[in-house]
Amino acid sequence: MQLYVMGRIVQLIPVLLLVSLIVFLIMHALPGDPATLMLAGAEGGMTSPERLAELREQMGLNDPLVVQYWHFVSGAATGDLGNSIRFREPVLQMILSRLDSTVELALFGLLCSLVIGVPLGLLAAARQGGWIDAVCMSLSYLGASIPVYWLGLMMIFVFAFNLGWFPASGGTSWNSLVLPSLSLGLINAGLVARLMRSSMIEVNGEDYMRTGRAKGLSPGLLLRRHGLKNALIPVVTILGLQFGNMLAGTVVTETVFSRPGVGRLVVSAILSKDYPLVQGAVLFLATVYVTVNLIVDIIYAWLDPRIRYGR
Amino acid sequence: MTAALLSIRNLTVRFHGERGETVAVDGVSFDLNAGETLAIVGESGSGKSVTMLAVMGLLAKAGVTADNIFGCGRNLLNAGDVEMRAIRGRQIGMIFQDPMTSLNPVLTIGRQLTEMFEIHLGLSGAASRKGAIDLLNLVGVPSAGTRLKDYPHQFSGGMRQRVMIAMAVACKPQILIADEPTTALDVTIQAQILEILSGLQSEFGMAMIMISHDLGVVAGIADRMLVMHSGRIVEQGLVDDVFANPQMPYTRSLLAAVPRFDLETEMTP
Repeated sequence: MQLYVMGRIVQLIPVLLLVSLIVFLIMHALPGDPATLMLAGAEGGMTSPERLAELREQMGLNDPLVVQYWHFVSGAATGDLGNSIRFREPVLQMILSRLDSTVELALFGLLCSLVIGVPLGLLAAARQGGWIDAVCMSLSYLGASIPVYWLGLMMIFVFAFNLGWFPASGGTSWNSLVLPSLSLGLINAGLVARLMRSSMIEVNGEDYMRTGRAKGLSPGLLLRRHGLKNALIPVVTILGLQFGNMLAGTVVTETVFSRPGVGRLVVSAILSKDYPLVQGAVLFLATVYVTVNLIVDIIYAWLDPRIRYGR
Repeated sequence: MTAALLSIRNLTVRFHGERGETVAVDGVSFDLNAGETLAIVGESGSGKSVTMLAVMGLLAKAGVTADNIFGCGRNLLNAGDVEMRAIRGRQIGMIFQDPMTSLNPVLTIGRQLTEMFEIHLGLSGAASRKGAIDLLNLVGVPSAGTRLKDYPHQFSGGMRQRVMIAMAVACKPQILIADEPTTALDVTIQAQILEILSGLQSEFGMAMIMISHDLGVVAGIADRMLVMHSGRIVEQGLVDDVFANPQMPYTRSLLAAVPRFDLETEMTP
């Protein structure tokens, strides 16, 4: 097991290097000069060519691309992602100070997706073809086809504006988390329910489930001990991907609910062409994403011994 | 007929499919006496497995009707879920054809064995662990103590079938149903598995129903045999009698399909 985890961690290194290279190249291929932007912002457009050249030299923009990339990567490896042009603060600190809010939202979004999706799927599988199944599946279609911003706005309209149960925006108190995570979770719960249902139906037809019935196991124990662990394997994959997507892509939800998270930081950085911030944030989010995938793989190995022992 | 361990009268199983109704088992009646080995032979789809699954109450979506199914001192036809669960595994053990898929891939062998003691005998912890080790020794799985922690994929096909057998006989059932237990195994392993089965049978005094299409297996292990065709029993009797003097044309063609090496016959393709 330890060997398996170590191997998976080593595999992450080339992935992250590639991500850093791609991000770096894209940022340098985009039109616009960070030095010009910096001066434009700081000195009200009074840019003299000498000042610009001096600053370019200072920022290392005249170095060959390879050298600049090396500075970026070696800095990133020690946790230094550079300073934001607009805010003149270390990028890493800016991200970390907003990470709480994003992780909170993603975690509770995932929890909603899990708590709603898994039982719904199990129920639909147990009553396959019945009216509960039909209702569950319609709900899951609905969840999968509604855009998250629309659901978010509707929830604000109903639960914040009309009923006044929860605050519409902001992000410090616990009840401000309910609507965003519910809207994020409901969208994803549909897919989880569908997958849980089909996976459970498939597992129910497996020979080892018949063996379990022939052994005299009660339906509840058979489901919990023999069925669930097998049926959860594909669901865990999707949940992991969803969690990664939520962490790296809560942009829309954070914008709708005005939550101060990483997603909103990246959007504002792109709009103001804050290159170091964009570059650093994308690399950071990519790292988070691959780490989440690593955790998924570890859970996977825990669920399925055939993976753990490398066959 | 008074002391039959299992007595089935006029069992019929219907499956309702999209193209209407299929009768898989059509009015089957037979008895199983204590301690004997009864073979049910027939081609694929003749209804041999479905008959036994129906007796075990394991056909959820099929229509099972019978005049009477009486087994282990109880009326199995009207038994409720709870009563049937106490019979399955406890009074009637069952082994299936494919040991590669019949064990749960994500649970250890130990877990799958000890749960038999848990649910039927109320044992747990060290007692059920010891029981599991004894069982594995009994069916000839080497270094049983350490292998309890292993998963099914770490066992060979023959070893997995031994584990299946151990699970089926864990609670010393009165009846053991073996549904083609050797079909998925190679010939040398087949012989070992059959030896284990008849050894356990005499040790525990179980009656055994051996479902097979392999007449060689049947000749070696069974006392009596039923020949099934299209859901009906077409012939039954002592194995020696049926082999020596088959009454029905179907039985004769079944026997003729077995290659013989002791007779000088012309092989026609």
